[in-house]
Amino acid sequence: MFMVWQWIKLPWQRSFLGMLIMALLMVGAGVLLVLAPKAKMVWAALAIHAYALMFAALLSGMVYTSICRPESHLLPGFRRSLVHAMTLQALLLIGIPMVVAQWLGASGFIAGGALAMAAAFGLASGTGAKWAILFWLVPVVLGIWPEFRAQVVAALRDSPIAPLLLYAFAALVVRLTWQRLIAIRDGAPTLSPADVSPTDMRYGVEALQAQQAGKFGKWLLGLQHGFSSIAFEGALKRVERSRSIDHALQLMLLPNLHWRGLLLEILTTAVFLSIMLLIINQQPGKGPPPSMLASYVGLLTAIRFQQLHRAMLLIRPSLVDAYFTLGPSSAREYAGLVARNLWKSVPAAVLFGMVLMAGACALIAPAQRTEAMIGAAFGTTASALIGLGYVWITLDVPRAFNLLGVMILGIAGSMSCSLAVAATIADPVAGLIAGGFLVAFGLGFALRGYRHVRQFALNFDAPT
Amino acid sequence: MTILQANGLTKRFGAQVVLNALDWQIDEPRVIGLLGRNGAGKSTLIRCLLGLTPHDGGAVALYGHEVSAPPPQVLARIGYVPQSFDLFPWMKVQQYLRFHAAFYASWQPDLVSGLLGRWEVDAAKKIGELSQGQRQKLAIIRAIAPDPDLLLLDEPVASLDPQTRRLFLEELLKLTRRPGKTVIFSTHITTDLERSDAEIALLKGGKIQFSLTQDSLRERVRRVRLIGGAPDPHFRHPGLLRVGEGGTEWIVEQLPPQEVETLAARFGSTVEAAPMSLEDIFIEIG
Repeated sequence: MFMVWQWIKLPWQRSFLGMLIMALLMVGAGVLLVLAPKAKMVWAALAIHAYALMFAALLSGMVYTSICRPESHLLPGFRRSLVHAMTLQALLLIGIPMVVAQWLGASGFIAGGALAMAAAFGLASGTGAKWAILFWLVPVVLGIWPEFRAQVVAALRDSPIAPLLLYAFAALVVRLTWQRLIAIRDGAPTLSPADVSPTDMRYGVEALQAQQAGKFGKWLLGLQHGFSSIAFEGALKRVERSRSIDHALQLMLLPNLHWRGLLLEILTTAVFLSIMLLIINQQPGKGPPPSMLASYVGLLTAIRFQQLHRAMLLIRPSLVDAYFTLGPSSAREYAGLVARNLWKSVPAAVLFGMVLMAGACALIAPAQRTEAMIGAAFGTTASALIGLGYVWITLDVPRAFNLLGVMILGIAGSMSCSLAVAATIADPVAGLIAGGFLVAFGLGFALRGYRHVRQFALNFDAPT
Repeated sequence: MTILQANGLTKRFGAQVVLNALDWQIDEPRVIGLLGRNGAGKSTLIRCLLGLTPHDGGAVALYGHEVSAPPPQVLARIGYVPQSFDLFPWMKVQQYLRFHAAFYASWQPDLVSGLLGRWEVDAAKKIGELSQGQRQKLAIIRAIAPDPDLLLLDEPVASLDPQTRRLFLEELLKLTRRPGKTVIFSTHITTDLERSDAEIALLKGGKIQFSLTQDSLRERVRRVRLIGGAPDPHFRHPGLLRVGEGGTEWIVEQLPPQEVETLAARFGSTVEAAPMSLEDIFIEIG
């Protein structure tokens, strides 16, 4: 029992805040049942509970994946205790609401099946199963085809067999997830600890992600690496000719910033965007407002810099090589050189954002497309500048900001872009003023970061 | 009961054969140092022996049980220290140890707290905040804590400073001096093997070439100096690994002393034995 308790505690230790919010939501759903025990409210409470359960299962799945490494299988009773922990949680979080729902007049059988599905897909998503993404498409599909939604609801309500499908499907998902959790595969290649630095990219989360990447992901990664290698060869030839190492340093810092890399990124983005647009276009109605589309574009443009932030921290120990190769007069001068090379990430991010916006224009009325693109040009530029400023300001922090970074950049990016596009569509002059202000703000923020970097000697410490 | 048995163990990474129909059997408890050059497959062998990586052929059994499905009572007898400890960076040291303690009836909390103190590992810190050396210490503490009968350590001391290495070896010897304990550890630091008086198993060409006590190994591989004449430095003879110092220094393997003397006599020489450290031997045959 002590082992089971340890398993249940783990998600709380790893993501206390997330689990607390989900637990509060579940308590809230319970309170709703007690205070307003009407049939309609029962389903509302169950929906809240299902939502919280799905995210709690997702957080648990993430933790269990990090624990279920081959080494852990040496623990006596490891698998059995995990099965017990999962069963106990299912009984508490699915079984009890099921009984309560039945007691309050709703169909406990259907409720249990739906909760089991939510929990199963949450868990699968947490383990990083690519196919679990399909579940997130369910609300989209039900939203696009109301007739189909009505048929599903009717089948669940009227057919005695249909709810069984929910349980069968949940069981299948749990089975597939379990196989992912307990699989023992070849690990990422390792070297002796005497030969390798602790921040080597083959270790840790990056190695795990690379290992877990599907065939398409690995192919794409291979293509990226291949293109980067070609670009780096070219840069080295230029270094040999001109003795200027600036371009090589830029490729070391931004390995995908070359025409092949940009083209690959644009093409893959265009493919995914086309699929998304195809689905959204099926939806009846006017379509989403341009400012909302712009907010997504700004968000995606800005959070690119979160990856750059993490990469810059991971690459810090390796920058020593370039430091000795370049031989700058001071470590501060070197910091300036590194920072200067990052400016080039702005046009790449703006180009990425503009391609996204051009794709999104398919959903915007033709008369508003030009204004939307002009507004997006301002918005994505501001987003990228804010992102770069963030990278510079955080260049010497001891550890990477993860969730916080995504939140800061996401909010700043989406606000900038949606504001610029909304203002430009409302009135081109207002758009120019708002866009100009946003770009100026972004530039000011970036310059503040640039000054910050040049004030200190570059930190070569690995992030903790 | 046989502690460990590998029959025809084969492991490939793509076209590269790392373990080539390897046979290895350990019947008696003892300390074994697994030696091999970089890339010889020491880590792969240890991981295959424990079932932590799938193998392509052959069979492995621990305490008589197939390694793919060992019962909990067998797992409870095994300890393992991985080559690099990069797991659970978000966990605090204390949480990590408590989580693992829950799985063992034989967990020794006093030993754990004692080692944490002596090896200066802060139990309140997150694992991700520990240095590589401290993580290695933690992995060792965790492996020793359940009092395992079979302890496999993959380069356990590479990240440790000399003081801690010595402390670790002392703890290890304390553990192994008790009856029924077997330790297998891979290392490049041959002085540690000498200090622990471990039996040496050499992994080369995907096979265990031999598993010998250090005395037997020193009898097997010897350095002799020729006094008097000397052959051409390019002189070759079965069992003669290397000829150095202008032909006056020979490294011989599995060549009986009388045969060496007879051979030297052909060049009008007598021979005298020159000591070889374990490192010297490893360089010659590794």
